[in-house]
Amino acid sequence: MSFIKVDQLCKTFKVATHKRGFVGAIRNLASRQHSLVKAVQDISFQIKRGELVGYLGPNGAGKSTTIKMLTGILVPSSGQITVGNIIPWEQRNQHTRRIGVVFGQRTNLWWDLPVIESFDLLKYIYNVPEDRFKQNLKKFEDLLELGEFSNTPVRSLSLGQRMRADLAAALLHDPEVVFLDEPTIGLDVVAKDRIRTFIKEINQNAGVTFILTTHDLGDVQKLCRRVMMIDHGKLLFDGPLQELQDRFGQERELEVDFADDYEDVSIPGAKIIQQQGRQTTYRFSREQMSASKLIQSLAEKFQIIDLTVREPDVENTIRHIYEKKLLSHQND
Amino acid sequence: MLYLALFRKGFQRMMAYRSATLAGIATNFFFGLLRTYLFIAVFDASGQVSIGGFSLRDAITFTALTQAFGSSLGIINWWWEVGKTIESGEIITDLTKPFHYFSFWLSRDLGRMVFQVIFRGLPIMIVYPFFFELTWPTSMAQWLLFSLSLSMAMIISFCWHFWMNCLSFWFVNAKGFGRFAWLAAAFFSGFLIPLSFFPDWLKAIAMWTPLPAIINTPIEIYLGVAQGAALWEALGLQLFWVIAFTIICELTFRAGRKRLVIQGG
Amino acid sequence: MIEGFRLYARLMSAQIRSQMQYKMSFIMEFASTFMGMILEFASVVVLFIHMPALDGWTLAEVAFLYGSAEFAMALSQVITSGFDVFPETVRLGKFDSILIRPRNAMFQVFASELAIRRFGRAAQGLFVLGIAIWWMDVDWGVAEWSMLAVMILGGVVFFAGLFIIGATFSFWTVEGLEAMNILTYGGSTMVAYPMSIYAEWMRNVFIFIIPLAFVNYYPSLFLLNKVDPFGLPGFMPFLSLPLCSLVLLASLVFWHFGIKRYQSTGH
Ligand SMILES: Nc1ncnc2c1ncn2[C@@H]1O[C@H](COP(=O)(O)OP(=O)(O)OP(=O)(O)O)[C@@H](O)[C@H]1O
Ligand SMILES: [Mg+2]
Repeated sequence: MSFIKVDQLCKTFKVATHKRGFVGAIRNLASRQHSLVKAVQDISFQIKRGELVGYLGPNGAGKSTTIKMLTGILVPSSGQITVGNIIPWEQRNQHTRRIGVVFGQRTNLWWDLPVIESFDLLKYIYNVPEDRFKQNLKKFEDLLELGEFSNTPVRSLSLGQRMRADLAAALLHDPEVVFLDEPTIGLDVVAKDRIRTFIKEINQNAGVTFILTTHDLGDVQKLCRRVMMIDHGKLLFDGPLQELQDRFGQERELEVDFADDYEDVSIPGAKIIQQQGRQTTYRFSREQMSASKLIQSLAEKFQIIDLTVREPDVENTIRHIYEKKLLSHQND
Repeated sequence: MLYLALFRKGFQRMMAYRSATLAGIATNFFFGLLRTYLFIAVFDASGQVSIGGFSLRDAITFTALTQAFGSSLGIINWWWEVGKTIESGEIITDLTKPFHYFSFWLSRDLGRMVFQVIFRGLPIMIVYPFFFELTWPTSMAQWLLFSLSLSMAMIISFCWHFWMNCLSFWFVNAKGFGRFAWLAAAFFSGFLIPLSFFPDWLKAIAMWTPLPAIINTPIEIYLGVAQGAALWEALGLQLFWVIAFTIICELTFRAGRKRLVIQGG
Repeated sequence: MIEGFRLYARLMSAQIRSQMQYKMSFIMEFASTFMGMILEFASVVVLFIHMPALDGWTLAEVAFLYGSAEFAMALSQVITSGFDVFPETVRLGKFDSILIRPRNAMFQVFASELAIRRFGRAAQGLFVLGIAIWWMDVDWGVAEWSMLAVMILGGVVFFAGLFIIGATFSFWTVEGLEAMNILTYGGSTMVAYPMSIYAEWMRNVFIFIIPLAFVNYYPSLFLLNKVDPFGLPGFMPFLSLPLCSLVLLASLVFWHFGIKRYQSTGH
């Protein structure tokens, strides 16, 4: 039973274009032109309760725009969204009660107020019962270690502290689904870990649905069973992380230690990417050559001491997809 | 040259605000209408043809001129850009740059002023005659003297704002004081009503300040209210303020900078 | 609705508490605006040196018009401070944070900012109004006081409507609708003097199209027992609040239309 349904979602922005320079400025005075940006094009997907979905894509792909439509901030140009049978931008009141939102780039808290006062206001805004509020606050304080800065105004918090405060704020009212737009942006390793653990905990124990966008593949590996990938506003992949890797993680690497100095160690079908003394690293694509085949042809010519085969990591896979525009070729 | 480039930038920057400029013209003109009808009613009720040397037509022209050049001369709008950077401490980075601080802002702001004279002032002077008869300078010389006076008024206006901004070096709440100074300028410069409508004692107070040199002087020259010796005297006083106020600003700024450097902000 | 007001009160008190950190700068801004604006009224006083009355209105009576217009407008400005900075709220994408809360967005905008400095102008209006009330030749009974209260309320509601309409334009343009200044600042200046001094077309526009004349002019005619120079029916003063409320209503409708056009920002 799908909880979130998105059907043929589109969003087009109208952007004013400015001409540059002195003459341009004068012409701007007289007329202003607009161009259309198709930020999201024809996206459909469904998400079940309790899922934890990673939403990936290069800069400007349309991730934030999608999140903003899902949260009811933006009204789509066309297409439908329902979250538990509610249309976000039409029944904003009911919708927002059930969701939590964090924008990594910008706080949703009150800039001048101490964190704890922001929470108090939220308790009031969402009508959170007192005992429930206390319970949650206690839990989040433990998990996110909010105690040290709960009396500091938001504007004086460090990025990591602010993110934790925002995360707690988004969950105070026990939302059913939480949208996180780059929740680990700019954080150090420890802070990232803490936030990841927190998200995982809430997802598994409370069954809260999470949708998160990120550029940090650590987030994806640690958290997401399912990923969606979008580029130029189009949904290019939707499935388990493993499948993404199997399908596109084509380039494997083979590291060989030779027993002797050889003049020419090149093998057709494999690319030498590094050579250091007697150690050579090859990159080869899964489709063109199997590992055993490559090892076999090496062993025929040279004497080998040691071998390591490296599977592609997620980061490389994704870089590969972004750079080569693999998926968009498939779709077009 | 840097300062010329800054002047151009200041001018150009204003062009980005197309709708603001149009809205500004409309608003200035609407206020002009209101003030004109107020003066018509005042002359009507006073039963006189001339008040303080102003005929009704002069008074109407007065509203046209003040509405046309008031934003350029910083009476309708004010700025707190320097004050802001002092308050936030960002000024430190500006001070490390190789330019003369006062001239830097003067050039930029003159760019804005000239833009506003052309794109906010002239349109109003062009529209006004469709509604009311205005007084015009009677000779080329008068036009030139008016332009000269207007130019000096711009510099004095800038000094007034700059000087107020500089108070931020000393007072945390200089902004509040600056706002008062700005509002007071509307009254004492002869922007709200001509200084010759004032009772003598009040006018005497005003004349001790540089404020009349920003509005009252150029207007009296334009209208021909100031003539002969009085005219040269007014221009001389304006020139005095240009020089004196520039020096005052420079000294104030230096003292402020010194204070900042010594106290570390 | 009641909930909305309670939310407003709640957010406001938080606002005030956070602003109290800068107590001195408040006082300065308040005092400077108050005194600066008093000088504006001083120029009206100076004009009265040259005439006994303005189109039949004594200085006290003009002060009543001036004070009530300023007071209503400035009070409305204080209340709608959030809309004053709304173009900025939109430009910086801060409106996102409002839209994700399960409360009326408009109330949240109302409560998003409080420009204490504007109290300075309101105080100046109230000061001039107070002097006028004390000085004017009126027997202040229940009817008069009620008329005064309704008139101020009408003015606040009228200007609030205009401020909201102006702010709503920021859903389309970056700067909001600056031309709205004509009606807000221009409007309050216009009704600081008797309507009869203006050109006929202006009067007609501001009686029949935009009900500016009902903000204080018609109620004042009633209070001062003056004959309507335009010969309109005697019930005009009583239309004040209903017509002004209509402006606020229009602004609400427009707001609900505009909010759907919100584009947010690119990050
Ligand atoms: N409010 C807006 N007005 C105009 N254009 C916008 C707006 N918001 C987004 N866009 C454009 O839509 C496209 C998608 O932007 P979006 O913010 O959704 O990307 P993103 O996937 O979140 O990117 P990033 O990873 O950089 O955050 C971009 O081309 C962007 O310039
Ligand atoms: Mg984004």
